[in-house]
Amino acid sequence: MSARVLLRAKWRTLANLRRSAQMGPTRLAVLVVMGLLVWLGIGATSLWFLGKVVAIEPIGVVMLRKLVELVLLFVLSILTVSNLIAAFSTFFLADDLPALVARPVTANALFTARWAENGLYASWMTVGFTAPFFLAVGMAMDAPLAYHLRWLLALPVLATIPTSLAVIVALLLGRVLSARRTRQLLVLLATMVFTVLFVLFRQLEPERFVDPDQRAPLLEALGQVQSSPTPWLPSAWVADSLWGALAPVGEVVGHPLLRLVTGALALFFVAGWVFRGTYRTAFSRAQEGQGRQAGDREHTRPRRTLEAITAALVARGGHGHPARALAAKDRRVFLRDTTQWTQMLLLVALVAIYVVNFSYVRSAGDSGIISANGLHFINLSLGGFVAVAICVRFAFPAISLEGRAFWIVLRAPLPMLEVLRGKWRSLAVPLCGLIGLLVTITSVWLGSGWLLTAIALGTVVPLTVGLTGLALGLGARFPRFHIDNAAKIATGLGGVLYMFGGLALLLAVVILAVAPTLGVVQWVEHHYRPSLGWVALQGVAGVIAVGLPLLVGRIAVRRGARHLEQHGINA
Amino acid sequence: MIVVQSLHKSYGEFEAVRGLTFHMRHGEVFGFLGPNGAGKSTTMRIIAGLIQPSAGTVTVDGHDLARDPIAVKAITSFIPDRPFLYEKLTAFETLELVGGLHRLPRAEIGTRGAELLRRFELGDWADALVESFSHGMKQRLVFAAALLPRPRLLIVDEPMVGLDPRGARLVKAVLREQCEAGASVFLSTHTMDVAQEVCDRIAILSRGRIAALGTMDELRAEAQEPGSSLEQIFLRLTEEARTEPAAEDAPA
Repeated sequence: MSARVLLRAKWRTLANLRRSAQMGPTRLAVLVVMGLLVWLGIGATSLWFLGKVVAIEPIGVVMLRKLVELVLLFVLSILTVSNLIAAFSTFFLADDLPALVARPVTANALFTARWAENGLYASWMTVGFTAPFFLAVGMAMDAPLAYHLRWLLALPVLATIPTSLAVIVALLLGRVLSARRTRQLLVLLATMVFTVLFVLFRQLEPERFVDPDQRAPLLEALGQVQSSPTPWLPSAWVADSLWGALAPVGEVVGHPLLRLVTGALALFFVAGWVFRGTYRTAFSRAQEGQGRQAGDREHTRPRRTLEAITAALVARGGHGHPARALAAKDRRVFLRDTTQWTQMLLLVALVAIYVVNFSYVRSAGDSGIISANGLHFINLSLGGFVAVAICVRFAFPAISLEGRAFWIVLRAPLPMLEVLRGKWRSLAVPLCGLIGLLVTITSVWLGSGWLLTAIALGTVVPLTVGLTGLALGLGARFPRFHIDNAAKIATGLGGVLYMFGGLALLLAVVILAVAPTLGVVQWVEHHYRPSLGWVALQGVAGVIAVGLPLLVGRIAVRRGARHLEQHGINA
Repeated sequence: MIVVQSLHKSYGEFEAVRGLTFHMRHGEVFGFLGPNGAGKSTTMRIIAGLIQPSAGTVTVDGHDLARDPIAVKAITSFIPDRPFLYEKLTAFETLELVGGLHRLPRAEIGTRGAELLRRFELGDWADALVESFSHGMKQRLVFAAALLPRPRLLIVDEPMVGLDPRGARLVKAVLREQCEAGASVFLSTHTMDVAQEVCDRIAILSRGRIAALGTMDELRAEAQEPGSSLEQIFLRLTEEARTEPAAEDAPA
């Protein structure tokens, strides 16, 4: 059986999406149109922004070069994280693996098929939605055709490098630690990714370009165009290669595109070699981790006797309560389900990017480019964006992750709305804590003062509650009970709708919060009192800014509950 | 116990259940038989409150399922054909969850839960994660969880799938005990021996309609096969029902 045969089955699965009950032609068409709109939006925004950057004389072109490098590094980081997460599923946990491994499939065919699947699945979205940025760079610089051909070739080749690296890491860790230890493994990986991301972003020092005190002299800055601070990274090779085609200033040393292609090929063969040497044992260990373990005492705690458990429960007294029973179940499942822990990796990456971005924002504030009030709204927007991103990973899949066992909850004598409200509460509390803490810390770090910090907190907490409700409700409206991978659940139509809705809600709240925030600041700090009509308008805007997300969350949760009641497990 | 009237369920253009009307008495074991795709599981899932019908009414112990589904769910338990459970919970925690959803006193969850786990030979596995269970053990755990809230109606879809002979004997005994204790059992099975052994009345379903309904003797009479086994009656009646549409479609 060749890799082509294995991949064809996957391709047929994708092609049949338009016929499946889960997707259907209408949903697929909506998804494609939305994707196109986002693609065009990224392209148009990038073109506008890059046009402004290039126009800054005399440093605009240098900033563009740094920007390209930064974007490529960002792409590489995202690809590394998503490939790592996908690799564990693709190579060890996927449902179709036992059937494939049991068949006479050669190691090379299996490796090539799974490698390609992993790469395509983990990279297509990042590469696809970064493409308009590179198109915009070419348009902003009036680049020749060679530039466009280069990025079209370089981006997919760049994407294969994190795929091969992720496969190697997953295979080696799976061989050494066994799948049962995935949780410890992921904490280790999350720490590693966080550290690497932080170090790399710091090396690029983007804030130097906006801070007049720290801005490098022009000649030094121009000199940086020729030398990347991370020349050993594939993202730098792509940047060098693209810059060679644009070539407004500086010279490109060596053949970066050749370096990229040979590097990618070499890693692919190394990954294949590691696969042949480790996969049999690593896969066997992963199966032991998933299957039945009669007499196995490896579970996290010693097995207690039935008498002991019964006595403990009886001693607690009182009645069982549906909401508390469901919350206890959710907590236990989350702590024991290692596949959900992969989500933590993305959380760490998001927080890392958030923290790194703040050094940039702070520099912009210190140099007077952005006012204190402006910093407050940037802080609010970034905090809200992190909330949108975290909710799509944690709140949106909450119903789908119940899986086929959801019939137990559907059968319970309690309204579905109560079930969803319980989930809303248990998700909103930690997420509000996290986002509130992040926004407070960054607000204090930016020197916003107690008033703006309190306003930021008062705005972002109801926003997070609303976003959690919106994600949960849409997750219930578009559940995918047959998928057990939280990362995959959010990739359907519901996930896309949530991202659109969540970002629109964030935008609305930030716009609505402008007038009341400025009004309060002027009143408290400058004792300025505008007309009563204006105060009333500010008050109404403030109430809507706080109330709108709560209302949106409430409606989404109610609709989600109704949908589940009507369609059940076949929703 | 159950009154079903003009029940319809469609999936797109496909009609899985076509105007079912029947009733089930208190304290009886009611068998629901039919070939694959006859609409058995769909009907059972509707009565269990897992899916909503396209048309028709279902009343359970006087409660209209459409108007008061919570009341129906409070007095019924459902055992699906495939025992999907929360794999990361232990057997005892599964019972704790079900007991909590039914607002049972913790003391009752503890004592009755322990008793049921022992009854279904899972006492030694009470603190083991469900993911480590075999199919048969999961099926037995589903039974234990279903009996925990003392249901007045037990809806059982294919109870013998994945059970070893010992487990199957246990389940048959439990079903009879439930009826003796005053509960009713609505049972779907492909195992004719089980149906013949435990059911008071049997409905044979074919292509979303009831082809025959009654006691074993009544079914024999309807099939005009005195002394025949349930398997023979089943094959005869479902074969007749299968050829009916062809006759209906034939030109006059």
